[in-house]
Amino acid sequence: MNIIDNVLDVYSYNQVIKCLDDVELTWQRSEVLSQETFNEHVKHNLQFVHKIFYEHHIFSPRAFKEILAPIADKIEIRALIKAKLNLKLRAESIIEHGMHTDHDFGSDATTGIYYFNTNNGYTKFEDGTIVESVANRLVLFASDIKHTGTTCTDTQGRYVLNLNFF
Amino acid sequence: MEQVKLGEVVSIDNFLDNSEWIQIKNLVLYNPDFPLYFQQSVTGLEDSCFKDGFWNYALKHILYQNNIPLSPKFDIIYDIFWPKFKIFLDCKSLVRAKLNMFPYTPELKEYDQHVDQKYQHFGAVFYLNTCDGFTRIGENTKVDSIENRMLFFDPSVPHNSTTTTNAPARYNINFNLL
Repeated sequence: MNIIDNVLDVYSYNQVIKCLDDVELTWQRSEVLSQETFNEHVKHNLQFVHKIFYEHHIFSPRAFKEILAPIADKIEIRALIKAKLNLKLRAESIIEHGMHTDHDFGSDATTGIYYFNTNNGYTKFEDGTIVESVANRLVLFASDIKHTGTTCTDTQGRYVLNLNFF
Repeated sequence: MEQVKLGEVVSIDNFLDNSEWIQIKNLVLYNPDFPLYFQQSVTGLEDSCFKDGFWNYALKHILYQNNIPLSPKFDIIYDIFWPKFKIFLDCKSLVRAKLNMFPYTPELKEYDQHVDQKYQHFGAVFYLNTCDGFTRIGENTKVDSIENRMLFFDPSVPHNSTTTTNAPARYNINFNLL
């Protein structure tokens, strides 16, 4: 596992946040996980996503260029598998969603989570390791490692970029 | 059916079924509006038609590169080939896809050897027309250009392409896959 803090310089980070906050950036309602994998009651199984890249197609050219590209430029990506923005709104308590992997491509692939904002949510891994949500932090790990995200209670929402690649 | 293993050199004739093959031919070979772009260096290395001989060039059409579909033709080609790749290869993602056209020359010319990527991966060369050009892998393996043939190999192994002496041009589509 590799944790990279201050991935973007201040100017680039602000540009990314500007795009993320833009009212023109649309969000789609989505399950956090399939209900079989989800730890909690179905009423909590809701987040908002913005699909950027999936199956070799760009679904959001603007987010691809203005959000994904500056972050992707900081790491070596041979082939992107998928990328999306996740927004989990604030909850009354911290809820761990459920251990999962993002796909079944195995350990040759890498999963990345970039944290846009600082909050008391976190990513927890199957070995118990916790990576806190710190703005401008990127965590990279082998895609076969199970992990879970959480809600947060101290900000309006928890914003992350989720990417998977070779 | 057993899948092609990484590092194996395998060619498969009649790779596309008839309707797909006609669709691809109509898209590329019989389409005067299919755009191709001059490439003065075939390998992207030191070679150049301005230095090594006027024959030493190619025309290309990038379909997909750096995770970006770059061609309006990408979807048609992707939709035909990707499901087939999933049958023949244990591949999960596309690195690059491009179409090449190599010129006629009075004598057969071989381009410089090169690797597509330094890491081991799947390469797929689809031959669009039959001619006396070929793909050379390493020093000794030659795969002839036969229409509707697919060649799988590892393009981190040095390889090269050629011109043709018995057709107006030599066309293929190259894919790099992980």
